Amino acid sequence: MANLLNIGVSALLAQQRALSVTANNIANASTPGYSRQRVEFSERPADRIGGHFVGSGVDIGRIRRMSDEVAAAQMRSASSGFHRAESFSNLASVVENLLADEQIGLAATLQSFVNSLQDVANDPASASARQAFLSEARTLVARFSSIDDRLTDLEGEVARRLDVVATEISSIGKSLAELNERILTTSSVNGPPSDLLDQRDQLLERLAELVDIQTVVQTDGTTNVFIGSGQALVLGGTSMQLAAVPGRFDPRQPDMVLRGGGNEVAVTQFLTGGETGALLDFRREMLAPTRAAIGQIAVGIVSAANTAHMNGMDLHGDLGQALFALAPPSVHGASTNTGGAAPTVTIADVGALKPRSYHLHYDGIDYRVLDATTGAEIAAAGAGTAADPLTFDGLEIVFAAPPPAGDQFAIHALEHAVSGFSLLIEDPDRVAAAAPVRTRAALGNVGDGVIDLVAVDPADPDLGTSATIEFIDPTTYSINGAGAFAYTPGDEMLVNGARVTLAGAPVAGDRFVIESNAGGIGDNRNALAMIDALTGGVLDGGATTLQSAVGRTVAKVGTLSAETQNRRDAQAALLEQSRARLDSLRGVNLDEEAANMLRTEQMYQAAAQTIAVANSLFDSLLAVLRR
Amino acid sequence: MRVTSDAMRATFLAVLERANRQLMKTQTQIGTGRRVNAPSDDSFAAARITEIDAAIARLAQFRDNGTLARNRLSLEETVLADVVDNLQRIRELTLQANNATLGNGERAGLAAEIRERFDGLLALANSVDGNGRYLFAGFSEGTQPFVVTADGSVEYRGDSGQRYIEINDERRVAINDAGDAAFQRIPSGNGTFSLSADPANTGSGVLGAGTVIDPNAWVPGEYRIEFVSAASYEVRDAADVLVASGDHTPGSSIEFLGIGIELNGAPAAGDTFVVEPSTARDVFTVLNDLLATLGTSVNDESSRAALHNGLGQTLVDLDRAIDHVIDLRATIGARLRAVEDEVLSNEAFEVQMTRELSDLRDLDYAVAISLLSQQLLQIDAAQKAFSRTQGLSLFRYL
Repeated sequence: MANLLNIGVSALLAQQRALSVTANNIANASTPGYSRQRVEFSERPADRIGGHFVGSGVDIGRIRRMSDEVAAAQMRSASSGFHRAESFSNLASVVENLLADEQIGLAATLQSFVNSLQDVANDPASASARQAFLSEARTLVARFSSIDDRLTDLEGEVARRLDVVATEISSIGKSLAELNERILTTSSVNGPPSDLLDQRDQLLERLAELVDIQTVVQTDGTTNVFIGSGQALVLGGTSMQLAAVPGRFDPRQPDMVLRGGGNEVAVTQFLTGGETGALLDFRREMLAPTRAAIGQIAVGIVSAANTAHMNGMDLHGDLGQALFALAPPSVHGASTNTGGAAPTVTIADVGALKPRSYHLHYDGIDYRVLDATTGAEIAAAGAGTAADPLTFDGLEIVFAAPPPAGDQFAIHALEHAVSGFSLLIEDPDRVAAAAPVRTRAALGNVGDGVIDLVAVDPADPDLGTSATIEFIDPTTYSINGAGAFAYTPGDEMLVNGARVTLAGAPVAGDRFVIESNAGGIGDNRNALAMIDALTGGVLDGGATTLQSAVGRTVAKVGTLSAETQNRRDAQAALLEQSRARLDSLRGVNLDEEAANMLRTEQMYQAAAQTIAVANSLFDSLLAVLRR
Repeated sequence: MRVTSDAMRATFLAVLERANRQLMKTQTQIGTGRRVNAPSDDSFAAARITEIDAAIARLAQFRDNGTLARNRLSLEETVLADVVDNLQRIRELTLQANNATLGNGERAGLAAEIRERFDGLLALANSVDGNGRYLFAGFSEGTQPFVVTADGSVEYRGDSGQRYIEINDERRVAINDAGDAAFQRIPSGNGTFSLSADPANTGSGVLGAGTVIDPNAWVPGEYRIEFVSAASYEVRDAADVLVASGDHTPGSSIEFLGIGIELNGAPAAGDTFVVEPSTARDVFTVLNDLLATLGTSVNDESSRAALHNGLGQTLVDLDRAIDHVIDLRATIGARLRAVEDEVLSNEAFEVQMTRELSDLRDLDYAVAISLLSQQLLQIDAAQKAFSRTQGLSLFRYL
């Protein structure tokens, strides 16, 4: 009877516990990271009564936390992938919208600029056409500058967010280390307390949103966390700090380092996934190449416009000046360099430029040039001296003296070019629409010789000085009365910096005059030459026009952005699946809990009934004795 | 698989979010009427769209350029038409003056009208466009091109510049002709050689028009036809080398080196006629010479011969000048036609570009709207399903 009572009480107690576990499950049904718990009953050892074994009741075997390390790790990995794709695609859409807007886009601005030059060519003496041209030039500069400003802002935003992310990763690492400590001290024979494990899983989930992680659960219940390619963030009760420090080459582009135990390890190139991976990938794959591509277009515009403009003559009769200025290629020595002097970098061939940046390594004997984004080696020629510059991709690099072995430099030929983009001419009269010289056949010529100006050399100090080509006989001519040069029709000759062609059949005594074009306000030859230069093939060895370079950049950004959007959608599906899988293990189903509750309640009632029966049995016994 | 209450809600939210994103995209497309709103919608199309946009803007510029070229060329053509009228009137007056029956006074009257016409021609040569810039000054369009100097001759102060404007990527058309090309580079004589009589001639020999019989035999150079007697002549070149000689009967032609020169009247011994290779002759010089010739009084045979020689050669030069200006008008006509052709082909190209742009960028509304209603239906269904499943709970039965 006492046995019966004991059995009933054990059942009552067990069902009470079970009821509270169910109640806890219901209470935490929507608590993030909560893993449902299940009570597992176990029989009490049987008593031996007269050769028979009689059960002695029920005990709580264990309260099991329903979760699965593998499923949780898969979900975290999917979460890292999704957050990387999502952050990247959000950043990418900023860049693509920046480039694409048709009213303010680069293509439209560039075309308006060329069109305004057409208006100058149509009426070169018109002050309003010249004014409009300068105003379009200013708009062009402003357009490039504002895109560059936005990209610089984005660079700054990436740097700031890297800092924030590093801080949060460090603080989560610290919390995980503390949790590990508590798990160690509070574990019972049945394993660590569920709530601590739930907290740990929740922190790991958040950490996975920030960066890709690997976890290893130790036999003592603690969890070690690794980031990157196996760098420990949490080892038992200790954690490292992740920090964004000023970049090795450029303080504005932070590097990521892992600090701990007095060590500091650079992990920038190892961090993948999560928001950190998105920020680093965006900076490397989209921001830098886009800035370089924009810089390449700007360099193309400036080189084409300036060269042509400086061949012309303005309304004052002076040779054209440079129309635009750009920032020169920038070189950053690594902070680890032991030498001082950075090399000078000049753009030698605009057509050979590539929209990328470089890392230059010196090992004491040779220079190695690497693509800063992909790390691929780039073939370079030359010794790096003034006499024999190091040349690659249209750049020339000259070291005043060889740097110490081991020095490294980052070379941005194009990325920062737009930061110095400005218009140098304010006075509309200074627009050089005319050619500096004009040619004519003398009126008294008998032959039908025709002279044409082909090009001018603005560096020639004699440019614009009058010269006369006079024919001694139909096949011989003199220049300014001197010399006797053989003539064949179509000959090109360079006279006082003017390159002219002569065609036709002149006769003895025929004269052709090359003279200054002062007063030639109606001349538009140089404006037309500028239009040709700006609309012709400028980049990629003349294969790519500026307009198509803009289109190409837009397409590239669009493709990358579309790719990340697709990847985000795919990752979202993957995340959903793995989350559903994990949830199916650990999530709370209220119907299930309701059913459990009903069952437990019934069990409880039944157990209470056994106690009542025990009671009435006891009463019956007492009644018998009383009689 | 176990389905948990939270998972149901999370799945519903994910479905709803995706559906909303698609709905927003469709809404944006319908709102803007464009299929491609960001490069990532279709990056190939986006790149092509920027290129087509630029091409259309360029074509619009070429259209403006074409209009400008047409206006400039029409203006020049109008002026040149007036120039031809003036020159033809002067030619008629010269023809009248060449009449042997006219007296000095009547010639002076004709000379006065020619002087008027001369001034008119000068004004035409100094024509300006709507912006006050000279049409015939070459590049120096701020400089008055034709200026009368102290001695009455006309000096050209412009240059030979010719301005081209673009009416297509590949096509440029000249929109002006310099004053020297229009008024100065007129071949003298018959275009191969020109003739003149020595003012000191005493006979009554009058030159007709020279003709080229065999262009291959002609050696450009200066030749003098000297009458050693009234009936025989010698032709010598600039180095005084005898080229040809022969006898002359009035009305017959003197021929040497592939050219023939008609000579009427009776030259006297010692009379000289000069043959020069054709060179550029300024129309104003021709007219000044004409006025000088008309101003010389005629009182004997030799001065009458000098008058007829002068006027005869002036008529040859005037014919050249009229032909020259008419030719110039013809080239302007050809340029205008080229402009029209390019404007038309640019328009056709623009239509084609616009169509391609529309194909690439514009939305098919029928498709978009059916997509929209489908997406709305989907969202509506998802919401209804969610609210129904949320109502399911065992707890309601407890």
